[in-house]
Amino acid sequence: MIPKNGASNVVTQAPKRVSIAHIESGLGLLWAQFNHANSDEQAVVMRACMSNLIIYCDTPKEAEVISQEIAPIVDIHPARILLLVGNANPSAGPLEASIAIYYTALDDGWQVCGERIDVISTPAAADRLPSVARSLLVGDLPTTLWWASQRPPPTAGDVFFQLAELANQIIYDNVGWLNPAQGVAAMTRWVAAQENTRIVHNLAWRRFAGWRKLISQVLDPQATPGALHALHTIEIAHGPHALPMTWLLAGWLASQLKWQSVDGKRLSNSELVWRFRNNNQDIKIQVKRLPKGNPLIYHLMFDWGKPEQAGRICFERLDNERIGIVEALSTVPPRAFTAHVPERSTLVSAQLAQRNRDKIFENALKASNAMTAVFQQ
Amino acid sequence: MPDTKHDNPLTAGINITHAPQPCTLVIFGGGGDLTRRKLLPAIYNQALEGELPANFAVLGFAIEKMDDSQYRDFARKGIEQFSRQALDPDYWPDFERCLHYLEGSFDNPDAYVQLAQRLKEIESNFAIPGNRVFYLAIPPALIETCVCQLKAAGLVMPIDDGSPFSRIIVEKPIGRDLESARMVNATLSRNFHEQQIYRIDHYLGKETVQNILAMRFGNAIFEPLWNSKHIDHVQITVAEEEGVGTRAGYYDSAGALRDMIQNHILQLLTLIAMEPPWIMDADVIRDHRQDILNCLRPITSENFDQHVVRAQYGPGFHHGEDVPGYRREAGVAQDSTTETYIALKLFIDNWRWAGVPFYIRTGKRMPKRASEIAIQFKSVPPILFNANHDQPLEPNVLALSIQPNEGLSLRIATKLPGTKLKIFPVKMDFRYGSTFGEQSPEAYERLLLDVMAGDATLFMRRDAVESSWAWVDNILNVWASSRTRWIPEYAAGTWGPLEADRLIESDNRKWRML
Repeated sequence: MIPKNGASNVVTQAPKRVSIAHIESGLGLLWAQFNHANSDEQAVVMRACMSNLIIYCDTPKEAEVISQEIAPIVDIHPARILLLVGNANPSAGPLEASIAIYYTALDDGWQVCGERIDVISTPAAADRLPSVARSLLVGDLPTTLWWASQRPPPTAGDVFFQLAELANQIIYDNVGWLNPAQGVAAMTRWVAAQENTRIVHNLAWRRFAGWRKLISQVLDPQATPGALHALHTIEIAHGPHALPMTWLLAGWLASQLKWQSVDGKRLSNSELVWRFRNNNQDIKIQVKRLPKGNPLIYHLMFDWGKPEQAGRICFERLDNERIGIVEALSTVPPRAFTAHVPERSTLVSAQLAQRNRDKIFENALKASNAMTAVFQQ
Repeated sequence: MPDTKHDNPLTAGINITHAPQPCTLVIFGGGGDLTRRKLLPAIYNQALEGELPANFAVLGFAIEKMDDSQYRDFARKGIEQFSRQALDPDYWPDFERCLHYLEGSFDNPDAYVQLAQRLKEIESNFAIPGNRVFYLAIPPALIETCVCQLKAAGLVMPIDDGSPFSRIIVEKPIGRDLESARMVNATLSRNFHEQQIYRIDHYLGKETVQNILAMRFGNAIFEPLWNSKHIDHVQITVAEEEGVGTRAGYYDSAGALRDMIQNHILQLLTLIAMEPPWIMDADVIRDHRQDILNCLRPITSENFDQHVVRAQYGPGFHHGEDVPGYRREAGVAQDSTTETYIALKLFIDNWRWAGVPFYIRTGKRMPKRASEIAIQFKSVPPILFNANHDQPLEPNVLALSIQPNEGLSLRIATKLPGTKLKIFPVKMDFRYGSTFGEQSPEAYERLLLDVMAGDATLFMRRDAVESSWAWVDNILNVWASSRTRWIPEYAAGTWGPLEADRLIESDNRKWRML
């Protein structure tokens, strides 16, 4: 038995190799053996399952990172996990599978909260992975595809499209994309074509949910009268690889406050600027990439009002747990708020429980795409 | 009060169900036990999870001598001891800045002038637009003084004129009988509009209690069975392990009927028995709960003995240790006849529940702490698998566990593996904690956010308080008219007196073993 994973209460066993045809029966056997070994007349091992989660990644290295995230995910959201790796090197044949179960202790027994099926394939056989997944989904439960590859999903071709067909929800993460503009455009087109059939979610969106909440509260007309609709300058500083998230943040502000993007320019290798217009007022968003740091937003500054009634609020990420706020030109003293930088597994498990399309996100995505269109290299 | 959802497009999609608005929480009795054990830890947990409004502050207001710094120490100790999440020393300096204290006597008008002044300072420092929530964590006798002084000091803003909001939270007990409850409510109504009054019952903030509605009306399989045609009876148990502890002063004048039945248990009953609401609106749901209170069959002196058993715990054992009987507890009169246990059989006289008994029991010094609502379905016909009269099949039971482990279980009959046809009951369990792996927020956390968001769904309306007292008064009146000084006794650490067993066994039913 492998010890508990980090803060999670979930325990698991070493994966067991099985043939593709015997995955389902192998899982049944694992469950029965575990039940036999751990239960008595009063307590039985139970299984909780809320979703199917198909995870696709390209390399065994990516899969190794994801392996560590499965326990905290099934701890929060019990699920059957299918971890598919499209660019691996199976020891025999084009495909190879292994299985494991995850369980938590109850007062009077055990509860299986996760079944994990790993299937790795050679690049040539990757197009067979969707057919394997199709036969292993648990009926009556929603299915989520977590696209954990570094490639923007629509650019991956048939593997993505076929896996997406199986899913009610697609989760992806554009933090770390090499060409964010191209990826955003491809994803926007694909999302627009879905016609309400499935939920599409970018983890980057959830990653700055804390920022959105704080911004909306601090700029609320009740708290800061006159600020929200008189914004004229926004400065954003972010760490490496966080440009897509920043882009989405700007898209969110633009879509919610009805700003039209006018133009955009690259000022240097690390600085961009956009100009928006709303009710004859210009709004400038200046984005700067910091030379080092994590893929996070570090600094946000809002300026509003005419010179005689000017206002300014600065948000600063103080550390991984807190965001500080300074309201310059005001009597309000600096404050700090809890804003954890969430683990990726936390973002995924929270998103698994969502059953509705997020129109605010989709509007932000559209606005970010419009920002791409006016951008002058 | 402007609706921020409309004025602020950035709030769209964020916290759709809960949008707590910027405010100052003023805690009357800010130096008391409830504040230390429940309120400050609840606020801290919500701050730690980023659920509080960005523009938020707390002002403790009480007679104890303290300054802000001492109050922050007081809060820290309470949070260290009682918070569900450990105190984070790195975050604490940021959190404690929002805690303030004002010393003052509740009956002194000058104290309210200072309160108003202090509030203005805090609101200016935290950019709070004048919204205030007054939490009365004080003995009931002080409610009138506090609300009248608040009004006189101009601290109660009217509703619906665009001014900042003033809301008041009142703790139970609201009165000790119908007459006194009416007086408390009349006092509140003279000074606050009903929409500004939040009568808190922390039971309603518990996850499983809220899940009752989700389970009943979010699943198609239960509601068709949720009636007298399919349900044999319902049992509600609220068992406490502890004795009277430090609450003897209050408890000896109240007893289990006032302390538990009038509020917590009757509210649970209404959620179990109510008709489906057509919308998740506070007043619609409260109307439907009120309908159930209106349909409760009164208990009168004629049917009293078949419907009510009261008892008091005597000496016994708790976890193997000797514990004294109730009358030997500190602060309890030696000839007290206050009930520490009560069992009831009651009926809801409406179409859905006609003839279905609801058995209710609650007591102190029970073998364990357990709160549960159990729906026992009718037995299958006495043929086929249930043909053996000597060994009837166990009926299906849907049990909703409220504490200590929140969850639900369903008992079903299954065939035992083997060549013989043998039926055996199996319990299918669903537990919040182990299934979702997340800690549920404490009831006070949820309820405080609800008040800040202006959602009164889980709070008691005036008519509910008065209806439940009216029903309970029938029982109190029979007891008052009885001249007997005798009250049945049960040994501490047991499940109650024999009389309670007889109450249910006379109907060929049994209390559930928890």
